[in-house]
Amino acid sequence: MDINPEHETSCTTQYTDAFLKYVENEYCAKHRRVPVDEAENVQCRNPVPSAMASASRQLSFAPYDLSGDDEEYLTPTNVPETQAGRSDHATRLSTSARLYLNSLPEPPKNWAHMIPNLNDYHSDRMEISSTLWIPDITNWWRQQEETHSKYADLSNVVRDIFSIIQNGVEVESSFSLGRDVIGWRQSKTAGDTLHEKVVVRQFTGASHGILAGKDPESDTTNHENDSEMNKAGEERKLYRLAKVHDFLKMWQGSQNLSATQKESRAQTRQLTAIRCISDTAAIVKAFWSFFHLDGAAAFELSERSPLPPALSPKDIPGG
Amino acid sequence: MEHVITVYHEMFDHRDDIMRALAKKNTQWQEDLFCAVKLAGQKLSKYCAEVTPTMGMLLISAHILDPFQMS
Repeated sequence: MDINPEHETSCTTQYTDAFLKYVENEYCAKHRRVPVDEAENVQCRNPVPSAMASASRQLSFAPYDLSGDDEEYLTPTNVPETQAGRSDHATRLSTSARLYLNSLPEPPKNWAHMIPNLNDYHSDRMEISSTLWIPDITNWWRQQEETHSKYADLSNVVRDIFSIIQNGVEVESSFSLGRDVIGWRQSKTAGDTLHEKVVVRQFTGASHGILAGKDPESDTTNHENDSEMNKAGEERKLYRLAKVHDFLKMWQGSQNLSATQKESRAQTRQLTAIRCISDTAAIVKAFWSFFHLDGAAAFELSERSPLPPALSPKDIPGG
Repeated sequence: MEHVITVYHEMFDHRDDIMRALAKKNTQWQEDLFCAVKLAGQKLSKYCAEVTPTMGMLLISAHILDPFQMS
């Protein structure tokens, strides 16, 4: 499929061409290719085999089997075209596809008829939601097949395509798988690491747990999808990490405190040795001549004493 | 499955509309929003490019075979 948005033709035209090529390669080529030994046995006159009628033939030949090798269908000239009925069917299928592509879209049903009280805001919500019209594509195609309309040949293609499970799309399924692997708290996980984890998980799932070992109880991959267990495990890891972090922080603080105390002790010892007089020998060596003897000043200090003067005997009454 | 192509197209159209509306705005938050929408568009293009090589043909076929939106 080569869809180029920058191309001159519109995307719709490119989609249409790709679809026609897909139908011709996957379906029309299969109808043209019939094995030689089976062509003698197959008695097919009905170009549009029903599911019941085709069930017996699918045991040996599946007309709409998509699991085959694509190279087979790209080289239909190597296979003999032995049955005119199947070739006609292929032609009709191709013609039906072209007719369908040239037709107008199916008009939706009348909303006013389906929802008469749509503008009535007082009506019951559940009643409105139950009458919402959702286009039923498979039912429409089933009607085409049952009424043998001109698009009936395409109904087998529709059955093959719309029977694919929607969450089987690889990228969308990978999104949810990536969230299961990486978790909400692992935002620093690199893309390469996530890629490796996803690859290992997918390989493990595809190989039915061969990598996980024999004991299902010890198989960790069985529990990886359980988000609650993953969350509990992350909580435990975080708790342990927090404890280790606290211990390291306390140990670092005590180391810093010890280093500071050692440094201050050394500084104190140095200051004591140089500037301070702390031993008795230095005290003995001090002479009285170092002191300034000023006895008069000392008496003056006593005369200026803030205490009240002593009372004389005259001042004492009765004395 | 038939809605995947439609949803992608609608998201691309929505991105284009927002970028067109914010292209000439000078307010800081509008410029930031413009850059964010631009990056979101790049990521959307990347996802779309990853989907189309493998599942693109089936998605296109499903879209075309929906008779109500085959345009």
